[in-house]
Amino acid sequence: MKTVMKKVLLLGNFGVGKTSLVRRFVENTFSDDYLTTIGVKISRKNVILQEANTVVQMLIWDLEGKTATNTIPDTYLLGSAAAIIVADLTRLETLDSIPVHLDQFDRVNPGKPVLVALNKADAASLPEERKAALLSLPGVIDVEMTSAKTGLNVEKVFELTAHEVVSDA
Amino acid sequence: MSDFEKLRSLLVGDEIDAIEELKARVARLAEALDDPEEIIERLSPWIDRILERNIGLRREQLVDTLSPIIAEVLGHEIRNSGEAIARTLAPVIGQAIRVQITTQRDEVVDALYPVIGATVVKAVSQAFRDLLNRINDEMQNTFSVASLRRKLTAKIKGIPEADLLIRENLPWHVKSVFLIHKTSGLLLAQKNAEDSAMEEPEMVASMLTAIRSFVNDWISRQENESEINQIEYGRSTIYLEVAGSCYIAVVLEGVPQMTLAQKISEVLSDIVGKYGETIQHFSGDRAELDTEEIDRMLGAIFAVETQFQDSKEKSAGSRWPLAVMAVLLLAGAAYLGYRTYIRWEAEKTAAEIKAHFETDPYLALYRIEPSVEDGRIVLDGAVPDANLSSYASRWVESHFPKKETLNRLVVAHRPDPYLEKIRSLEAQLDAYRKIPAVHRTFYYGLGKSNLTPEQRRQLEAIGTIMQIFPEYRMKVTGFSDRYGTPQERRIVAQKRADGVKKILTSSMGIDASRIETAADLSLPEETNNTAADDAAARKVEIELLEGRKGSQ
Repeated sequence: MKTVMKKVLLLGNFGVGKTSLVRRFVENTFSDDYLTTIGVKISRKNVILQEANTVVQMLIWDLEGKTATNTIPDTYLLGSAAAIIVADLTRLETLDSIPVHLDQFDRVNPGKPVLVALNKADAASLPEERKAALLSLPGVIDVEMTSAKTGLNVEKVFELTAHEVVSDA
Repeated sequence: MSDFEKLRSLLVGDEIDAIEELKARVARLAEALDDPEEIIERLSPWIDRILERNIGLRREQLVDTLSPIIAEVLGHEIRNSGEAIARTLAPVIGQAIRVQITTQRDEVVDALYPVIGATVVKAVSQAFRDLLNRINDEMQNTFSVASLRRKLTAKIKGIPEADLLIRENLPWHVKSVFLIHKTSGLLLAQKNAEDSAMEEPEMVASMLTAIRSFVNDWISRQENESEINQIEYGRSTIYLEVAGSCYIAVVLEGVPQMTLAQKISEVLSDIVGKYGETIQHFSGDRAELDTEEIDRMLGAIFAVETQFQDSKEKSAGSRWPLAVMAVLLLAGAAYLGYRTYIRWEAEKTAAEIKAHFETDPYLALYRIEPSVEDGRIVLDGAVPDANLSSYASRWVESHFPKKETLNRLVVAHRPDPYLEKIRSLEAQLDAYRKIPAVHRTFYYGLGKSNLTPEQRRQLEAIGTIMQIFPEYRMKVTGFSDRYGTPQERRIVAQKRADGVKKILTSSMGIDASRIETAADLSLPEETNNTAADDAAARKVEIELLEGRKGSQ
């Protein structure tokens, strides 16, 4: 079984639950407040893809959420294989930032896949047509309702991402 | 008692007693005034009250009165009973300093700075002196090849020897080496020292990349083209060296030698030179890389340290006792002295022989080099005939009968070097003379009198010949096609010739007097008046002439 390393970005506004999602998912992470001064948390998770006979070693760059997304330097985004953009279903304005994150990611990593995780699905829901609208955004290959609290779809989002980065390469 | 006295006693007797008593009291008072002890005793119970009252009512006057003497009083008191004053003041000094610092921090800092600076310097220099003493002991007690080299380096570079020794003795240790993809932070290769283990190297690589990106992003807003190249934490340092699409991060402890930094960039440039392309397109699968070879290359960075340790151990092993060294030195000096004497004697002999040959009427013309080799006199050089050769060795044998003579004189008619030189110069001159006269024709477009860039380049090549050989001259003849009056045709032809001349004179600096121009109105002999014939008529002809004046 071969091992492939991939850099995966986690983007989203402040407080949407990115860090909680990662914490729910990963095996290893530096302590939560580590590197916050530079606005990055790095975690690792190995996902085994049986059918591709591959271990994907995902190096997840959790980029500090800012309301003004432009403050994330492009250099952090460089060389990413995919991005997971997280929004908070209980604060619908965080969904409006998704295209902004998407634009920045696509500008730096053109053509790379993006998954959208709509977090806090345990506390709120979203009309199907809004979900469909998100799915139609360029580059977005999937939109999932997640909950870091219950664990809903958390594994799924990261596993889908692993799948994408391997088949994309 | 008389009556008068009785009467007086009756009338004023009491007063007289009172007067007597008053007199006594006045006398006592006068006495008391002269005796300060008395005054003090009497006034002392009141002093407190007087002071109290004055402080209350006339505070300022009192301050004015007392302040001039306060310093004096204190100074006096400190001189007499300094210890007591110290005991009195001690409890408040700490507090006073604290107050002083909060209110006048800068003054305190300024005041203390020189003292603290000096204190630190003193402590540090003491520590260093101790270190130097130890090192000097070591230097004096041992004599080794390494120390000799160090002494030489110190002399040559002008660095104190002890400095070099410190640099050599500070320990350092490479713990880990990373090769990281620059933009994604993916770990390309990693190698640890045998005694170190690095957990989660992939995450460390990502973190380092994030830190690098952050710092570079931040710095690049301030200055252009800056790079972070070192991160320090505790005793460890991470050196970063970037090239191409990757960078090397070396985690080490202590202060490394310069050779390490050189090695790091050497290894990196090797890796980039060999695998730059592969690394640039690295997709995360290490199977794409020649990991074995890259590992081997990274290993070279650890090897610097091993070599360093080895050289230290080796130098430690090659310490010889001073006595042995001294004996060897003495023996060496004696041998050198003997060799010097032998050489001096040999040179003297050779010089004597040479001096004779230079004045000998038969030999003075020829270059004979006498020398002394291994005690034998050797004659080198060349003479025109065998008689002269044996004449030379006979003279040497008769004057230095104790020495063997080796005659290596060659009998040969050596060609005269000056003659040779002259011949070669003449040959070169002949070669120049053989450069054929250049004939060149440039054709012009209809109504044109400018050369094309290509023609201009060709003309300049001819001009170069003129620059090199000043005796060459040039004849430029302009022609025109059949159209126009003779006058018009002459103007056009002349203009073409002048254009050529102008290029040579103004842009190549050739003297105008060497170029002769002319306008020729003749047409090509076999013309059928076709367009091609016309084109062939629009031309200049250039002739390069070996034109020493009059020989044209």
